[in-house]
Amino acid sequence: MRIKISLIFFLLLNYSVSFAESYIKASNGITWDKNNMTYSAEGDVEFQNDEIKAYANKIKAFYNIENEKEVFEIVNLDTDVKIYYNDEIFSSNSATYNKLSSLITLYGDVSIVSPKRYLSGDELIVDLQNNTRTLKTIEEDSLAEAFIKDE
Amino acid sequence: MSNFLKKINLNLIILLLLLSQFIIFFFNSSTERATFNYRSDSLEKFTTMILGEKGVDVITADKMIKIKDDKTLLIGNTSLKNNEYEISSKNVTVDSQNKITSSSHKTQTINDQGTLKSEGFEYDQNKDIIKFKGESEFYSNEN
Repeated sequence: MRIKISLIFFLLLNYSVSFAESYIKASNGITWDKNNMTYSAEGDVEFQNDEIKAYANKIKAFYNIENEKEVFEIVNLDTDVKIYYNDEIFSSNSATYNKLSSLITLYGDVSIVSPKRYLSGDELIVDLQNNTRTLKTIEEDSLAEAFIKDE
Repeated sequence: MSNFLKKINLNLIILLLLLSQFIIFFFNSSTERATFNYRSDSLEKFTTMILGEKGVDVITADKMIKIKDDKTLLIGNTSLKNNEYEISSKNVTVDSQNKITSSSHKTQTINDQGTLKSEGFEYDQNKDIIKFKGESEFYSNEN
């Protein structure tokens, strides 16, 4: 009986692994530059990996090969940027997502929307690893925000 | 709890889960490859191998028509394969003077990183850049 239940859990776990995919979708084409190891996409562009889901009008994704698999390391997003991370939505004119340093930096008309707050400014640095948000506003004091996890 | 579990036919659940995963595996397999027909005894089933800087390029098509010295049409199902990727499309134009290969038909490209589907493509051999036209989606093997 226990073995059977364990097997069911294993199979269900396998589902989540099967559906966790990275992708780029674009309405106006994707360009693969092999020498510079980039994918550039234009139009209504959608990007997703295991951390974030993002929308923009232009995306340039830099990849590297690890264990014979591609990993998107840096993604530059331009125009009408919207990034979804857990229950937060970050919006801006442009942004850079760096998977290696777990940082998202957003520039121009920046806003954070989550169920309990709305903040806006000119530049936002989201540290996914340390779970902090730093919002900068031109000619005003910057706002730093830290989320404390219960462990 | 145990009475509840006994009522559930666990064998049936396991069988259903295994069956559904087999279906997912076969329909989403990213390692799918097109079958090649190496009969090159006529232009109707055209196959050629070109030794390039980065290895051997294998080009297959249902039919090959040479329009000019520097322009060739590959009619029907066409495949361009080398050690980095395989592009499958239809009615491909090869401009050997400008080194541009293109198609305006549905295209599927499989490389080491994943699978890219688009409404056409244009490969600029000089710049080594492939532009995938129209609605395009690239699914990576990252995870």
